[in-house]
Amino acid sequence: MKYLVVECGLSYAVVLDEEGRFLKVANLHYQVGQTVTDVIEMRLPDASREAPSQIHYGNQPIPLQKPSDERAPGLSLVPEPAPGSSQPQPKKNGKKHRLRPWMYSLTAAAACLILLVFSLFQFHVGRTPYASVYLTINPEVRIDVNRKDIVVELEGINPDGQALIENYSYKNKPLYLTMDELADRAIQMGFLHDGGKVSLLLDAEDDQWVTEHSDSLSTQLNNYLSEKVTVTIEVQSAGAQRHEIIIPVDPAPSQTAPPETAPPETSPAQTTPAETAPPQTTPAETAPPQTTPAETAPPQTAPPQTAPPQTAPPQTAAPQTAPPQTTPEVLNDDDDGLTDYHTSDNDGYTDYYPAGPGSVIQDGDDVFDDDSFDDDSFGDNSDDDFDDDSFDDNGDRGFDDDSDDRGNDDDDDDGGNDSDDDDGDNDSDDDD
Amino acid sequence: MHNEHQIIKAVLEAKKDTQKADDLIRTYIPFIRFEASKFLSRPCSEQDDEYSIAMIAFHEAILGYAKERGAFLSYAAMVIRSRLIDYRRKESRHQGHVSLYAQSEEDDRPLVDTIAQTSDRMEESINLEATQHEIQELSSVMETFGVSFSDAAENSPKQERTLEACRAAIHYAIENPRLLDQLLSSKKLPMAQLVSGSGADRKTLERHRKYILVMLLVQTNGYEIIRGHLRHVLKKKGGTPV
Repeated sequence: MKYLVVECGLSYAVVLDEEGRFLKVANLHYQVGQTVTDVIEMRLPDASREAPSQIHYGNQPIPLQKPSDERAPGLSLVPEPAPGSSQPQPKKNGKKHRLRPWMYSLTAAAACLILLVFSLFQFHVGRTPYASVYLTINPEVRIDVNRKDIVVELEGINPDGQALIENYSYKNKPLYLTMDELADRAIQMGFLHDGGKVSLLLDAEDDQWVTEHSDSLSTQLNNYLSEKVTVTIEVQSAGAQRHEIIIPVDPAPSQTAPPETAPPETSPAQTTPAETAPPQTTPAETAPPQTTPAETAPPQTAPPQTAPPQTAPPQTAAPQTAPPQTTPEVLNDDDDGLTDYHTSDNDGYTDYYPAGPGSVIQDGDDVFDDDSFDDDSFGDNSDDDFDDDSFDDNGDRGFDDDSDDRGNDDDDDDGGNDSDDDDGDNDSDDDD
Repeated sequence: MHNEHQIIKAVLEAKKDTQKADDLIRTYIPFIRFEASKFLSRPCSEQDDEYSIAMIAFHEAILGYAKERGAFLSYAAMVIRSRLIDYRRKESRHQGHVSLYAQSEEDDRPLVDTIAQTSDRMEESINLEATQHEIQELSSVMETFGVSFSDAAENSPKQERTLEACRAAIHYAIENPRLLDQLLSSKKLPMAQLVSGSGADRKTLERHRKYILVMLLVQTNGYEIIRGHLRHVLKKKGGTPV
């Protein structure tokens, strides 16, 4: 369609199309007498318009129409019979074709109601914690996430934890990002350093969630941290079923770090192998056998540990036998919940041995040891990282390799936050 | 005009009076340019297309404003922004097209100059001048009837149906040139005859009086170029162009 420019004004130009219509259009530096092919028509923001199909412009909107007096302000849902007319329309025409005034309010109210309900729902779903991840290094924090793995709440459990998250904005951040960032912070603040240990405790109604996330979280964290520091990452799940997935990441040989992470009770010996062991850094549980030799693991693998729910399987007993093998290296031999390296024990917990593939994991029990339940849903049994009195003892516990007692930390079973050092320092078993 | 009340008053007056509308727009050119610059994230000059669009958008806002819409300037800003967004969307569909007026790479001449032209440039500019001349003349004749092109635009039939009705009337006048003479001499539109002669609905034709008037004037002597532009109007149904 070609348009002949017949008039150029300050704010618009008038053109004549080939069909014989005059239109007001934007004056894109036109000259009278010029012929153009693309125009931008003027239109009234709320004008009732004729059906577009009747107009064949190169581009869009309907030509300008004068607002007629009887038009209801704002909405007009159907075209007026004869737009563009400068004569007043008979009132009844207008009424016939457009909604009665009261209908607008009703529609608006209905829309508001729907929006409100919807937003409440979203709000609720969006804000309700679906699962929690307790991240413990020395500082302990709890990350609550909703179904979409977006952080809805972040709380420091111990003073160090609070320090860790101070001024940290977490609203609507994805879980993985938050974990990475908190890990970074911990490094920056000196809470986490080479050879340190990061423990995760997963708590959710949905076992599936726990299973899935145990794996992914430790992998994620491992990958993220592998360039920065070498640490051991431990993942546990709260609740009746406990999984321990320990993925030792084996840093350079020089690392003696692991020992600390090794935790608790295992003797130093174990820790060593640990380092060599496997992949530690790799995804938790699956730690691969590499280190096999180092660890005395193999023997250990023999025993029980069959189950392994750890990585994948849902915590139900049934699956246990399945996967484990390949899973993680030795993790908890003596079943105190602390990472053992190469100790085989028949504690009913799944121990993951650093031993290579094929190592037996399950110790013959059901995967879940009935006596190792942690009723309070904290990792008390293994207690290395999570202190059920929620005080900071766990903080140093992680690095404390003497935590062989199952319950709380060495000294304070009294529920008070006393004992060794509440400063969450990484003190090595000097506090008992 | 900083007072909201004053602004509203000016807007209401501008709705009816094109001169006042122009004045109002002129007053707010800085505002218009500011809004366009804000949208573009760079200063908007008069050369930019966006500037023109913002201008027409402001005018639209004047015509479309009602007190219920709140403060006029906020409303105008919204309309401007809305149109600019539409324009940007439209333009983004033309990505990759280079403007005819951009600089050619080899030399400094605009690209349009480097395109091989079949027609003589001289001829074109002569045509343009002639066209302008015709339009100017038409405009002055229209003035004697008290009609402007803007009026014609406002009055133009939008629906196909009404356009056809008007066309019928125009055809009738073409075939009966004495009507055109009558028009010019009496300075009145022979509506009755048009209605009876074309068989179109009287109300429809009445509604588009000004438009029909202009179109009839185009059919009087001297407007060959403009008529040449209007291919459809001149065609008889299924027949050859007049």
